[in-house]
Amino acid sequence: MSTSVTREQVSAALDGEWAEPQGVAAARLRAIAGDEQARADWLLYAQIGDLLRSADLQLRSADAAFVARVSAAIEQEPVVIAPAAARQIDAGREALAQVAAAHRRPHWSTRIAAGMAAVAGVAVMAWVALPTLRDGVPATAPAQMAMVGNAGGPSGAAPVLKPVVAQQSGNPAGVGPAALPQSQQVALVQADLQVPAAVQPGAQPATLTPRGAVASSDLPMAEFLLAHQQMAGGMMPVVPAVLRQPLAQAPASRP
Amino acid sequence: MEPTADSDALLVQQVQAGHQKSFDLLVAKYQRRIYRLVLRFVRDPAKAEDVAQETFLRAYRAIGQFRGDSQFYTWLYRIAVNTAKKAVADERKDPTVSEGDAVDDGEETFRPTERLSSSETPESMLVSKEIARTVNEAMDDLPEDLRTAITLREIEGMSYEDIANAMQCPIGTVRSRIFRAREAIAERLRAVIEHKGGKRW
Repeated sequence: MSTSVTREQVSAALDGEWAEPQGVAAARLRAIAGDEQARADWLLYAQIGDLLRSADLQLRSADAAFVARVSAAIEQEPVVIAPAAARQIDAGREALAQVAAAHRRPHWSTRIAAGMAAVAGVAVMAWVALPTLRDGVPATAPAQMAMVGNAGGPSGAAPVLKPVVAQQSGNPAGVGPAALPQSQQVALVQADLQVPAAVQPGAQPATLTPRGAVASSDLPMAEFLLAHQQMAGGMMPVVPAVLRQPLAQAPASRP
Repeated sequence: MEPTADSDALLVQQVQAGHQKSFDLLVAKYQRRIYRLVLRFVRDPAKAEDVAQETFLRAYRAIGQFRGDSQFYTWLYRIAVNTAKKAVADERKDPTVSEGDAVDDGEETFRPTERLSSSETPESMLVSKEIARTVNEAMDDLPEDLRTAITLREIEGMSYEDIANAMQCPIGTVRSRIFRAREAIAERLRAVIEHKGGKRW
């Protein structure tokens, strides 16, 4: 009988989301910890999450080696048995679950989540602008790059933000990676650090300049979050920034 | 509705029950964040690796003292800061070592403006760039519902239940979409990593 864990199970376990009764969770995690393939999948999925969340958390090819070194070092340690501590964890876990949900991610995400939950059927897309390194120029913050992107595209390490807006009139130019329901006006912000060749068919390249002192290096996703807040607030197509190149017009020039 | 169980708390309990290998999953999950945190104090990447490793070892040794009155990562974070500060202090006793300008604002903020350490090789920068490009391209190529699901999960930090409400679909569909998105990205990354000599652990 095969007791190997499926990749989908590893994925859900990493998120702490269990479709099974409570008791299965512990056994599942132990199975993952003891299975070479499952461990590799767990590591890779965790790395992907870190990459998507931050421009600066670069996946390092030596990650697996690091875990192996720590694992080997721990094997030399005496096995820890602390059942009293484990019982205390159990007792406090329910109360902690609420706290954990709030603290696991940056504080602003909980506000966005509340807003998102209020909107039915809205597709939101945004992901991290991973900075490029050109000519040895260090990567700059995505938030800052949103400002310098105003300079007509990358002059150094700045990525170009390409808004994709689906108009109610069904403007085909507004459709990005996939067709959106025409009944909805959705502002999607897509960060792309690549050369124009990577532009999605139909998407009009443009640059977004955040209005006001919105972006801070502490919140690299600030411009995306503003877009989300706009959507959560009232489905308005307005993006909280000066749209340098409206979709209906000719494409912005990109180097 | 089943209550969601935080993986971290469960893993810690298993370690406290004597399952050392469960600690490895916590290492895999947090090593990058801890390394990056430590790097802000220590500056030198090789030293940061050592300090990060020491952090996890100290956490393992002290795991019996973790009572669950805070998140595991919060506890781990404090150990990392203490270990890093000590390493910097030890370094200062050596007059030949220049003092680093460690920034400890008590917060783990993401500051991509920090310049890369001079020890970062051009080759490793290229690898990082290729990996970033691979992830971006994979995300671009995802079907919209998969991309939305993984974005809401990884970037917005929403629970499966909240994503199900936002996307108007069953929780099982959310779980499946997130997995398929991850796997699509992972598939491409495996090719890149293997090519670069990645190891199994």
